[in-house]
Formats: sequence, C-alpha cells, structure tokens
Amino acid sequence: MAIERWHLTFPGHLIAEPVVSRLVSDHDLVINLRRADIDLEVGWIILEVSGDDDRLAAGRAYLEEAGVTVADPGGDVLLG
Amino acid sequence: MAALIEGRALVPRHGTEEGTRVSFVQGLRCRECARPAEIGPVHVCELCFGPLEVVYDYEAMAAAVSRASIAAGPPSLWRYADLLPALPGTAAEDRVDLGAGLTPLVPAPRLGAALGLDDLWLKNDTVNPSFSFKDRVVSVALTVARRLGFDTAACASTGNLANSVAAHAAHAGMDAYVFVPADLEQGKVLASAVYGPTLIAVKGTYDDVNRLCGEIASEHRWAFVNVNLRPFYAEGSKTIGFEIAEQLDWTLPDHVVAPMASGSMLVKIDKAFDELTRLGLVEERPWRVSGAQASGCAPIATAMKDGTGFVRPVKPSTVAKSLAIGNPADGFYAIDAVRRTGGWMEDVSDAEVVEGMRLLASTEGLFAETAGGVTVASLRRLVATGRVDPTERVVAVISGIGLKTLDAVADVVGPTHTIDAGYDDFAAAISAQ
Repeated sequence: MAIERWHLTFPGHLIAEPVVSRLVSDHDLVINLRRADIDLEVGWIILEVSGDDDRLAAGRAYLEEAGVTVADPGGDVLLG
Repeated sequence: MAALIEGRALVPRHGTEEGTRVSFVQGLRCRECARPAEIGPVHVCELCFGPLEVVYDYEAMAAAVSRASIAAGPPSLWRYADLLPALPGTAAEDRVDLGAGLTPLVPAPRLGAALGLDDLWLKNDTVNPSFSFKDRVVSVALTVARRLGFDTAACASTGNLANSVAAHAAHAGMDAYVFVPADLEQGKVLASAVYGPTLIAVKGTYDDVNRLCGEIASEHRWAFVNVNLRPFYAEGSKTIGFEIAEQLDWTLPDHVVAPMASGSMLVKIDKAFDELTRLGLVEERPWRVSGAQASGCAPIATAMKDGTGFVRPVKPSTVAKSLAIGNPADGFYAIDAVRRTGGWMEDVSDAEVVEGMRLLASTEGLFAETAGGVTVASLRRLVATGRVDPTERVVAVISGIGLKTLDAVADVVGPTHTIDAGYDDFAAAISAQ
C-alpha cells in the first residue's frame, strides 16, 4: 500500500462530474480530502490517495485522460 | 517547541546568546491553516499539506537589530543573519558561505530612457559566486542543513540551482547529488559537474524528472534544498529586498519588478520590505511588486491576468528555462503579494525575451540570462500599459548571468563584419555600415 499526495486541477466542464468518486468506485483507491477551492468555472482539490502502485498509476492515468491536471501539492521539484 | 533531529532535540532559544550569534527563529507554521510544526527538515503541513514557513520572534528581533548592527556585519547576505533562519547554535563559522549577496544595485539611466522610466535601478545578481541569485537561497539552506545534521545536499535543476548546490556543497565538504534533465545543454552540465557532485542526468520529460526526484527526496535522508529544506531555503531570497533597501540608504523603492519561476523570490522581496518596516529599519511607506514570466510558461501571470487567481499547472515551452516551472509552489502567494501592493504581472514571448537581453546589454553593459530578458521585456510592457509610473523609482531584479544561456542569443548577435586581414577591407566594411 502506497500513499501519494495529489493536487488536482479541474477544468470548468468537469466541475460537476463525479471524477473523484470514481477513484474510489472504479480504481479501488482510498482518498482523504485535505483542502479544496471549487467554483463554477474552475477548481482544485488536494488529496491524500492510498492504494497499491498499479491502482495509483491507473487512477492518475484516468484523471489525466479525463482532463484533470495531477501535480504535487508542493509544486515542482525541478527548478531553474 | 523542540525538534527531534536524528534522535536529539534541537531547542530554539530565540533571543539568547548562542556563541556570538542570536537566533530569533521560533519554529515553523503552516501558511494555510497556521498549524505549528517543529523545526526540522519538513516543508508541508501534515494536516492540510499547505507550505510551512519560518516563524520569528519579531519583538526580540526589533530590540536587537539596527542599521548599525547590520552595517557591522560581513559584506555578504550574512550581514542580515539576524533576519534569517540561522538556527540556534549556528556560529558565523558554521555558515556555508561563498560570499553570496551584497550584489550591486546600480542606476540604469540608459535602459530607463529606452523604457520611458526616470529612475530605474538594476539589482545585479549575476555577480554571485555561481552567477545567479540561487546562491542566496542555497547558502541559507545548506547552513541550516548542516545544523540539522545533514552531510548530503541535493537538488533537481535545469541549471542555476544545480550550479549553486554543487558549488556550496563542495565548499562545505558535503556530498552532493544533483539531478538534471538528460537533454540539458552541455554548458550547464559542465558548470555543475566541475564542482564534483554526483550528477545524475535523468531521461524523460520535466514531469518525469519531477516525479522521480519527488520520490527520491522522500526516500533518502538528504538535504534536498528546495524540498525538505524549502521553508529555510526560500528565506534566502529576502536578502534581495534587504539589500535593495540598505543600498537605497534605508529607503524602499516605489516598485520592484522580479522574474517569477516558483514565485518565491517576489514573495520574499515583499516579505523583506514588510519585515524592515515592522522592525523600524525603514520608514513606513507603500511599495509595489510586479512579476515577470515568459509566455511559454506563465501559469502565475495568466492567473493574475484572467482575474481568477487560480494557478493552473502548465507544460513549459520557453527559451527562459530558468523560469520554466509549470507547477509553481508559490504562485498563489505571488498573486496575493502583487494584488495587495497594487502591482501587476506580465508575460512576454521568447522573441521579446531575447530582445530584452539585447537591450539590457546594449544600454547598461549587463549581460543577463534569459530570466533577465523576461524581466526587462515585461517591464517594458508594464510601462507601456501604465502599470508602472514613469516617475517611480523602479528596481528590476536581474537574477543570473547571460553566459549561462548563450544559445538564446546565438542566432541574433555575432560579428558585425567578417573581413580579410587588409586595411582596405576594413575601410570598406566600415564605410558600408
């Protein structure tokens, strides 16, 4: 079981979609919401996500394919 | 509050003598939920994953710090040691100090005239030991790292940070692991490799490098300067603001324009001015901060301009690689500082970046890397759009030397004439000019 921290950024057309709940129902991940800011146009959520490595990778791929940006809550590690 | 470091307690004793120095560091605190955290190699709040920042005892600091005490300090960023996160027990000889800081603040009348500004100054950070402002943050981070018991420094970088970590680690006798993208220009690789770190070139996209280095940072007990030491590392950028004020005879400028990658430098310059005011070291007056990005990687400027303040990660594509941070950690805070002070943000094309580099070099004799071109070109736009008043005292931060990004100008500058070695050939070339 691995634990990752994801910063999800949603485009407007996904705000009303149950994207995060599908991480649980379709990808068997355990999620723990830490912070969020969502309005009608755009939104972000910071999650702690638990699961085995394969499911985490599949969950991330699902989000990215859906149009959600998945990033590290701490920002990029690679700097100038 | 006590911090457990390798099984031993590091107890802040702020306001008390520690050898020859006093430390005013009280601990860490989450910028989002204000939850306190113990001093140690941590950068995010365990509760909300917000960023941690250093907390100081400003009352004790104000009683101890004066313009005279600062002037009596060394000719480097460490003259502001009392305002930095030098942990308890850190003596002057413990600092990892290559002499970074106290860089020139010079008037720029010719560039000012070209941009339409009456009182423009340049903060020339190209003259730092590894030729960029990163020496400020690395010097502070590795000083803290040694105090916390680390013997290995690390970073992931596309150039400046790699150079600086490798150089400072060599100076301090620390091991260093430096991660760079495998397609990084040879000049930048060599400028780090010469210091003797373990230099690892990682194949893949910037996202791949980020992901790997995030994993490595969590798996190894290294001082990953911009990860687990980030609260301390970031504080080093305050010294740009401290120096600007001191070099202007302890006054604040009207406006500072700074390049933005993570956004941290701009945030910390604003914080420096706030601290100097709070400590009574400068007269209280308004100041403005404005940010500059390249359009090929402008998540912060875009969020500012679209009015949302909502920083969406992007995939960088710009000649200004030192600013190519697609997921900027301090973007939100940079927008907050700019909004609060009445500044603005601009982003400019790669062609404008190169033109900015040329303009800076040809008017003031200062060859800056691409980030400097971003700053100059953005400043030009800020003036043209009325966001900067022509009569304001403006300071533009020039953060790194142009010799690191020669490729950016290789196609647009070169010999004016190429002639055979005869005087007539020379005369003909000149007369045709």
